[in-house]
Amino acid sequence: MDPVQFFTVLIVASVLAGVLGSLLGLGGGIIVIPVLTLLLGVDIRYAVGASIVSVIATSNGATVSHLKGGVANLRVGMLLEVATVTGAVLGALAASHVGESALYLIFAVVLAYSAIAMYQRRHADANPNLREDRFSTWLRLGGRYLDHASNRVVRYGVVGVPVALGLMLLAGVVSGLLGVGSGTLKVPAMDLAMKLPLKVSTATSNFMIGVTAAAGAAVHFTQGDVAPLIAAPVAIGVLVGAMGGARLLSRVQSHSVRLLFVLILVVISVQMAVKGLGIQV
Amino acid sequence: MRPVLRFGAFVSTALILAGVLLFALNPGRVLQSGIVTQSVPHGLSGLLSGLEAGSPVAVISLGLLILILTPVLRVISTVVYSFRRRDWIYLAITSYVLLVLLIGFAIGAEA
Repeated sequence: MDPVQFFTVLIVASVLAGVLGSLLGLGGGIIVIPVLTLLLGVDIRYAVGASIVSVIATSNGATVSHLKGGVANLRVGMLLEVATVTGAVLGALAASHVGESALYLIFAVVLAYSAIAMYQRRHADANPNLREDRFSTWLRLGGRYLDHASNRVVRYGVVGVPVALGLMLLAGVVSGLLGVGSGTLKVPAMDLAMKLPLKVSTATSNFMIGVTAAAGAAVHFTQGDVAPLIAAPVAIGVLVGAMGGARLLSRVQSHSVRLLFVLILVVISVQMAVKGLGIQV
Repeated sequence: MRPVLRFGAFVSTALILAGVLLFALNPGRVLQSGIVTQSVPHGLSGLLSGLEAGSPVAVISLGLLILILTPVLRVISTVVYSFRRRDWIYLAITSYVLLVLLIGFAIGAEA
């Protein structure tokens, strides 16, 4: 494959990853890693490095737009960061010691579970949760936002803080290990465990994954996992895509975002399982 | 917080684009050894010597490094924000996150 082809595919895939990632609160690494390893034959080391960079680029691009609308809940985000960042550093350090096949399989299982659970909750935003648990009240985590689609101000409370923190630790470890933004784990955790409105989970996840990725990225960067000529097109493409995607978020119904998210989770889950089981496709 | 993010995004993008442009002007030398295996600057010293030599790859690397640092700047601004608001719980939370981030950089540099 000649360089021009290589870079073209890379950039197109990156822009796509950026749009999708911003729309769903993912880091886009979900799309980048498969494209790099399966389509372009790049060593997974460099795929992880490029993915981590794309994750940060997505978080930057999307957050700038989201903070304007006040949809992301910064207090919840920072609190959960305590767990994710700790996990990310641990994960990045463990990267050389853990068998990747096992990881792919675990990830596949978690994704499948999240997809099922989220599908069951797809209409839930009709009545946003107004209860709070003790932690949420103490830390003043609840909030409200203006929903463009239905044109009303939505108030919400937050529950399930301890469970969410546990899930976030896991999400952080996975992030450090695989270089995936693990927004895939964060959004369901916020949606299911904490019962946040989906748009808030998505926007908050975008804010958080950049910080989590930075924690793991430092380790990978200085280890030489970030190949500039691969990571650069990815970073730019994703940034461009994310900025476009964030604008769409406020106009899309929660219902359809959720369905799209479920579909993507299923597809990726299968992909991961195939890789983990070593099946040659 | 927004100006901080804009600044970080702008600077890193500018550097990355500059590096890519430099590379596009003279790709031959770098592409010879393969897209991936060309010199990935190792550590800060590798990056600095690459910059001195005017290597486009090093310029890109610097842009990427700043991109990675932008979330850290963001966390620092939340620390300052919570301190100003005298919100001690929030300050403790954000300070811890910042601490772990800095440890991450330190450990990475040693690995």
